[in-house]
Amino acid sequence: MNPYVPFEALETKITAKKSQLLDKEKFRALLNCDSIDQMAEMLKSEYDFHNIFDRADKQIFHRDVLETLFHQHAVSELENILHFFSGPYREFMKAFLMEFEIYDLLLIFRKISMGESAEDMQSHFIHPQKHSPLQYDDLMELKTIAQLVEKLKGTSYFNVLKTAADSDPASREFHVETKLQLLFYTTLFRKARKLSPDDSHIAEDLIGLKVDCLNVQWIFRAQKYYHFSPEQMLVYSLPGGRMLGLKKLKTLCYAKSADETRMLINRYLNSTIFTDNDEMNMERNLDDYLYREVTSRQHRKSVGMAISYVYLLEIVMKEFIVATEAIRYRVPKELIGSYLIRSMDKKGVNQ
Amino acid sequence: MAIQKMISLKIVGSVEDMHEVLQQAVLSEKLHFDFEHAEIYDNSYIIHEFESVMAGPPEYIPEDIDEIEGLCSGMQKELDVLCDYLNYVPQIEKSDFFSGKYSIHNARADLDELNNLLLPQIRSVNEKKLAANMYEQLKRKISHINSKNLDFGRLGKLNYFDYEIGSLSRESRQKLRQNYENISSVVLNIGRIKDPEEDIQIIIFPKQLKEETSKLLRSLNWEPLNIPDGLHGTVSGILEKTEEEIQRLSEEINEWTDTLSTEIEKLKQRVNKIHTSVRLEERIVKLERDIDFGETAFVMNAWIKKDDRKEVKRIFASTSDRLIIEEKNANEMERQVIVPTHIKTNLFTKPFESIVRLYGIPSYTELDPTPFLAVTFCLMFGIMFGDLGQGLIYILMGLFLHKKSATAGQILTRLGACSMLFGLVYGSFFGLEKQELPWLPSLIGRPLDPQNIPGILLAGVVIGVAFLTISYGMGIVNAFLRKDIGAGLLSKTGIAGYIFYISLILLLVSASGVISIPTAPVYAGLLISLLTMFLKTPLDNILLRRKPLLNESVGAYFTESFFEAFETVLTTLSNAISFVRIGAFALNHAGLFLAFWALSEMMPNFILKLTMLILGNLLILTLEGLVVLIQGLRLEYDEMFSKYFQGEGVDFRPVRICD
Repeated sequence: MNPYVPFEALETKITAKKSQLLDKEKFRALLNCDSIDQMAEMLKSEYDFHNIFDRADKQIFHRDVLETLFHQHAVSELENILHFFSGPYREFMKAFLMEFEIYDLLLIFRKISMGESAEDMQSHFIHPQKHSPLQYDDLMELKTIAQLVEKLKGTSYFNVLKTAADSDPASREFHVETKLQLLFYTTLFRKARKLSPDDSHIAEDLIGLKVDCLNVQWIFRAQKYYHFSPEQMLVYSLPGGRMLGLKKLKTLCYAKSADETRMLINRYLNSTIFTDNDEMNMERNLDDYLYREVTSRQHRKSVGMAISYVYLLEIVMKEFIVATEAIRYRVPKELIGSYLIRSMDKKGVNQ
Repeated sequence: MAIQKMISLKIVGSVEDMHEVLQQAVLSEKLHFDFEHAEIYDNSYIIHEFESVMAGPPEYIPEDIDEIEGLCSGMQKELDVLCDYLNYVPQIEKSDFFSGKYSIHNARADLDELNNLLLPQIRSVNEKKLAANMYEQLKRKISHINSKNLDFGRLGKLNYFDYEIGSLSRESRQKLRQNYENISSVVLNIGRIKDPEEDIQIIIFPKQLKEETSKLLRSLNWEPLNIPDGLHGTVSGILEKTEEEIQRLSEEINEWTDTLSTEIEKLKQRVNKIHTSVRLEERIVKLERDIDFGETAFVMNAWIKKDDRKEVKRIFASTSDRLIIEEKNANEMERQVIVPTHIKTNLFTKPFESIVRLYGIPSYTELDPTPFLAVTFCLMFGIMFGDLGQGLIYILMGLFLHKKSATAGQILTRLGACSMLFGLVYGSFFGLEKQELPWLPSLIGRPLDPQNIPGILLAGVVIGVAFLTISYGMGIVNAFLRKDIGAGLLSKTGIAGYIFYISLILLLVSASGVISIPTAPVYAGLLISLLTMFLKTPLDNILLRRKPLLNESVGAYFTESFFEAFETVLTTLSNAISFVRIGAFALNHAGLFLAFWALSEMMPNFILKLTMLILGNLLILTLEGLVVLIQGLRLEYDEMFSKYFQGEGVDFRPVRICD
């Protein structure tokens, strides 16, 4: 018996949450909504989004507001399951919140970098702040990147950002974002290593799947659109991939053409991420891949249950955003399916 | 030792004088403003009345409040920078402001002068501090380079190669290593820093690959080590020159600091004056936002202590001859107006005011509970914790604490003194009694003496009856003072409640057989008082000739009253025996030491015996002392305050420059 997690209770809780989250009929009903208002009502009544939707004005359900609301919901779900953990397991699960803290920090960074006031940012923040070492109120009052860096002294962000003040303002945001993502995954893996050997292995496996997806997107875009050098691409690639180890990452970074990269990615992941010359659906196909991989694994009585739930939550929130956009722009009902993750529709509920 | 008498002032004047009036009000620190009851005071009507008869100041343009607020906040920031530099905490000095001639604009001009005088020096010193810091950082990093003969001067002379020195984190270095075969630079590790864990690297690369290399380094969070021009040479040479620079800069900064310490004395007064002006103006602006004023007239309502009446009148008389001040005693005011409370204390009761405030502030019409609390609390503590030596320790601790927390220190000295007093009654010195110390005076002898035990327990009850009788009495007086006749006569804390309580006590005394009391009147008292409390609402309404007699249905009222009566019986019973704890803790105090005495008797030698006794005393002084303190507070708050103290008053807070 694990002294840090009552796995039986956690399993009951997560199974209940997943059955609600992945209910195919409910999702279909959501897609059949005729207006954003109707959809918002349904999200509140059927998906228990009360806590965040009641705080927002439904008239302002634009994409960025919606994304914030969905993220806030994901955070509150994560906070709910945090109560089941203690010791190193709690520290590990809390590390998932760091991703949202980084999101908020980047918002502040961007505002300050552009010389704008960050004082009205409160409603855009996702992180619940009570688990955060950052003093948000103080950060929002800062005027320069140098002040921000100074304020972050003593946190894990300082080392990543300490050179940001002297960097070129035009490109530093990208570098900071990438470095923070690198920090997040390094932290996650470090905390995963403190779990029991079995759980540590499961955690590394699941996080590795996510890392693979992120690395594929990064390398493909860096090569095709940003024209980064292979060395820089490799530096910014995340460590700990499940299918894409260092050797394969290197091969991808030094690939001669986008076609070669596409072909290699399909082969390495053993999945059709790219079809012919189609890269439009790369992100959706990667989510599909992650969804299939996560749901195909049995993680009973292990930390894998919680990690899978975190990833499923993220995927479902993306599906909600797609559904909202489809309803807003009145996409014909028969076409909406092509923007959604196919495996979700096939497998349906109660994974 | 009572509630200070208050007077209400209504000050009406021309808006032209408003700023000056407010300034004098703030400086006097005697007025408690009341902005919450403007409607009751009829301020709008009064302004309207006065404006219809008072001609407006034709050339008067009021200053923009927002502008003044902005000016103050800007000045405060500038002043903070100066004070930081001067390493001086500005003080409030009111003396220059009573004349009303020094305004915020004068302060602005003074601050500009100070800025002109000091800002160039501040900038210069700050630059020097930054430079010194930069050299310190450089020295710290360079000193970690292993080879002190490494010559950066020679490296800089290479024709086709360029170099960079800097630090990389372990993770970044690992990343670089993973792809070293594809990187077109030579990367050499030349040193190691422990905190934060970093490696100092030198990167040598072909000059035409400079951009590519710097992009890669940026991705790796490379922290370049910039060696200032003129310092390039060997590592040991750089260290030497860096040290010299740090020395030179430190001397210059120290020289400035010395000059500054003499300058501070000259500038202190000006800084204080500006600081006071800013704070004063901020406070006035805050008041101006709350005050009622129209085109030409303003009206403000404030409370002052009756003792300050003459002084306040003198201040306003010298401020303007266009002020109308109307005075009213607190009892002439509308009932809705809450009169602020200022508790008058004396040397003995002062620290106990904080215990009263923990519960609540007495309302203006209530009796001040502080003197009664001070006496009863000390008395109960003394009885429960009577010891000459331990009391002395508390007095010493109180004197020591006095500097850190005056109130806590003062309470402890008073409790210690009472403990010593009862130490003489019991004849106890650090737990040792007449048996061990025959010279020790003692009034009644040791508490654990079988002859004394019943007496001490009974004394607790008797003291309880006395204290509760006074508490009920104060509660009844308070009810009449707030004109709540029903509560005073019929409630469980009123006369009916007291008759019930005292009848119950008499019944217990009679049952115990100690004193023979005829039981018939006692039973009658119990029954009548209980019935009175049971029928409180209808009786109250009959007394006040109010209708209907019941505000709810008969069934609901009697059900509620039944449970209330049941609760009253239980509470009164618990009240009656609650004070037994005073005697019980007096026995417990002696008993606890007896246990340690018995343990010490088992010790083989004198040292261990003494250690055990000291340990016992320490435990009694800390744990038991705390328990007794809590028990005392419990009796005060739960048993006594609940009878007479409501604590719904508002504190008298005269407006000041700084809270």
